[in-house]
Amino acid sequence: MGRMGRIFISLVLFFIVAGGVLVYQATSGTSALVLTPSELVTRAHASDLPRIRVGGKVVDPIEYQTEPGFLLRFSVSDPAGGGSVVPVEYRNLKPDMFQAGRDVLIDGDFKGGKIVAAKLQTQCPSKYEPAMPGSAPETMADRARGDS
Amino acid sequence: MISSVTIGLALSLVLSLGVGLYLLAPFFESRGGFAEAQSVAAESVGRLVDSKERALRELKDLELDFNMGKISREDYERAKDELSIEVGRVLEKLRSHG
Amino acid sequence: MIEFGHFALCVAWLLALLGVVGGAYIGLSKRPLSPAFVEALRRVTIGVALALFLSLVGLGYGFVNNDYSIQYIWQYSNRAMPWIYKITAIWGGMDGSMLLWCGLVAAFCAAVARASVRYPRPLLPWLYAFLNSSTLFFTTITLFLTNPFRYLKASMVMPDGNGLNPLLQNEYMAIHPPTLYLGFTGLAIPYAFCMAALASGHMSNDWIRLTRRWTLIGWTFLTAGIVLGGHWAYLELGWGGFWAWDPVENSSFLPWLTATAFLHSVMVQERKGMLKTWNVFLCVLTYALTVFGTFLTRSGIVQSVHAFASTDIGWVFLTYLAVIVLIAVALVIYRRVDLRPERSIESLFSRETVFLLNNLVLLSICFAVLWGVMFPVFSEAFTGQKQTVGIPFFNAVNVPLFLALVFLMGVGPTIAWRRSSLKQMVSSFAVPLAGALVVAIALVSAGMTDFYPVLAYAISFFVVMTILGEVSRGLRSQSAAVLDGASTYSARGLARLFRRHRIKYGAHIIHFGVVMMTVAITASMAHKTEREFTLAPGERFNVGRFSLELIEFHEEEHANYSAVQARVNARSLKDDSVIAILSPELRFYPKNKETTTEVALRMGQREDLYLILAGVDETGTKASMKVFVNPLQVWLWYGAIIMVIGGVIVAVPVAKVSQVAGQSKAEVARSI
Repeated sequence: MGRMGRIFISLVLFFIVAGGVLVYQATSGTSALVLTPSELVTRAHASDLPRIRVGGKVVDPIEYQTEPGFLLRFSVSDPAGGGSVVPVEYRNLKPDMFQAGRDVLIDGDFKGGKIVAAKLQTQCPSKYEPAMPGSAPETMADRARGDS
Repeated sequence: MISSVTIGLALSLVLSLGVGLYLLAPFFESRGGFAEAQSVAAESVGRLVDSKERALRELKDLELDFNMGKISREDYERAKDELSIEVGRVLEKLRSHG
Repeated sequence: MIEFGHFALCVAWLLALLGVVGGAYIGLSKRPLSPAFVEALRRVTIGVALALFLSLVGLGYGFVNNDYSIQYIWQYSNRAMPWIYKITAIWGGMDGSMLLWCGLVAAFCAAVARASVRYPRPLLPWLYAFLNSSTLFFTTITLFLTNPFRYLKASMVMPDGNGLNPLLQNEYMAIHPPTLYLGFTGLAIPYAFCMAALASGHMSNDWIRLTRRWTLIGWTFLTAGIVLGGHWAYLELGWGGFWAWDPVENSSFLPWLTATAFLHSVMVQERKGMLKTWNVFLCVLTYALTVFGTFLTRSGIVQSVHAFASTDIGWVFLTYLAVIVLIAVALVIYRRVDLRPERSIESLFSRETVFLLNNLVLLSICFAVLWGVMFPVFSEAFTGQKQTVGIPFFNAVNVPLFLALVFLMGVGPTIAWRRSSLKQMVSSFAVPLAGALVVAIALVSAGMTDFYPVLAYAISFFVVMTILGEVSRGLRSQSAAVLDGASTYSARGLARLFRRHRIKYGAHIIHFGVVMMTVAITASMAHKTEREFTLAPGERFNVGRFSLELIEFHEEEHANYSAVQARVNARSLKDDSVIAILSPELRFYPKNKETTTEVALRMGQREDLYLILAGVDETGTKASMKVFVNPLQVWLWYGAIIMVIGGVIVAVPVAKVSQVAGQSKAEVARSI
């Protein structure tokens, strides 16, 4: 292999090593556990748990205040419904389409028995699959279950 | 009043016939549209023409780089000589094919 | 008519199958190519596109005529929707969006088929086979797994449909998904060319030249589609941002990265006859990533707010991906002799080297993003506990890599092909580097202490200086004779320079667009201001250089929603003049019982003022709002437009020096 070939192999190796180090550091410094509410309750054992992502369904009651400061309080259950219900606190604007029964993704920390959310996202509406019509008029609960 | 289903059926029939005729037509036409089949020799002529074009493109880039002051006159002359020799070699091979 | 649409889909599937089988049969046959068979295959490819177009028309007819006997139409349409949204609802859900994908990939294949009368003959059977293979896969998915023509299972005829979600009843729904899909599907064409070249053994630079142009077309659409998505999110979603590194967003970005790498490394192959295997790898990887992206969106394998409801079609995509990879590997091994490099890189200080570095950086970004997207899957597989990474991870990894890429953007076009001397490099880069240093020092002196923003601005300045230097040197290289009396720095001189070196200067335009986006992203991320406040009418709140005065708020009733709308004067703090009147809204849709915010946005050259109405207090006398001040945000969209213009300029075909296709040996000999 010529000199240029060796140089390029070295460059590729450099990128692999440097890139690997960068990715490793960023991953270990920012990764979050992905949990359902039931898994969170089991895992946390009533202690705090930093950096979590919880996916679930919004459960009533929902409290939203905009003064003083934005504060959204609700609970979240497992995505399939049922299971443990965990309270959530989010100090920011209520996201669009947010309502009971909606699927949400919550990034935050588990502190003092509740999820303190830093980021809250609702499922994108283009991908929301509505329920099929039954013989009775539909209810929002039917829609929220998203049965096909 | 013609029903939607009837219209749909009619359109389906038209589509089937139309596609069938469109696809079978080349087998009944006198040939046009494509050149003669290329032989292996023509394939290697193609590669030689590629080499010629590649060298010519490099010459063009070289000239632009020199005019823009990116390479020294010495490097320009040396590279130009190398490329000209390469073009000459390729042209010789192309002539021998022709 | 809906039945006709379904029938047309079946016809398309059959024709695509015929195209694959027929093309492969003729390609493998040792007999001379029969012109009639090859022409028939070309017509098959065009016929697939026609049939899929008719299928889409059939589905569209059902939407416009409120045919709620069809499940998909019931799900995504209702009588109250304007007809334009009934059309866009075709791709509002998974089934219809798959049909749209099929239609677009077939349309691209048909365009190639139409142009293919001028292509090298030995390439054609395999080209048609691989073109139709892509259409065949997606029509198989659509016809057998996600059929939009299924009847609704209901005990009665539904008088009205469910309707498209209000957030999607928006003009961006008409342009973002089709543009994005045009990008994805356009990248199937280079894959077909690449595989056809390997399968047929017709490995001359014809396929590279053809592939590059079609890749540019797909790349330009993908760029536009990605930016349109970001713009839509910015306008609609009310979080003041435009990109969240969501897995589905990333899935559109991954093929963009590899296609960009390919567009650069293919220039090295054209000049040096090097990197052939690497370019095959990039071509296949780009196509595989488009398939992977749609797999991610529809399989439920990763959590995403954009993902479709989880389905069981993921395994079909994975199987197809495996087939693509296996065929590519087999062909590369089979043609390994033809893929040997013809030359080598002569110097570290050459454009070829910089393009290689560019590829390495782009691939590094690609794999880092892929790692981030798939980390939940990997972590669960290896540790049993699913973990994820979010925006902080992607920013931590990608910011330094992107800045390295932007820096290379300034170096690559400036450095010479083959070899640059140290002296020449110093004369080309000394001034831009000095300028960048001055900018960095000035920013730090002015109080900007964050490392990455300072570096980003400095590198952006460096790149702009190198682009201006290239234009200036190019103008000076033109002799007075060719300018016919016009001055060196005249418009005529510039026009001639661009005409003669269209690809080079078109690329500079694209790079300039990238620099604008870099500056805009840095400013809007690093210097964004975000505030929450509550006002009664007549009260004010100061933010940035604005004073926001609430004039009034009131309720409104519309056909399908009710709203609270506020009216806010954005005044200049300097002279109290009204710069803009903003009307943010809070809407309630009773049918779906959903609440959405309508952002009030004032786009300015210096900054965007982005206002959201959060709510009204219990007494009904005060309104709570959130405001973002995003510096230089609009330059992001300008930069994207410039990139797309540059892409169009570079993609427009020029006359070739000579052509092998269709030329007899005698003609070639005459051209020497």
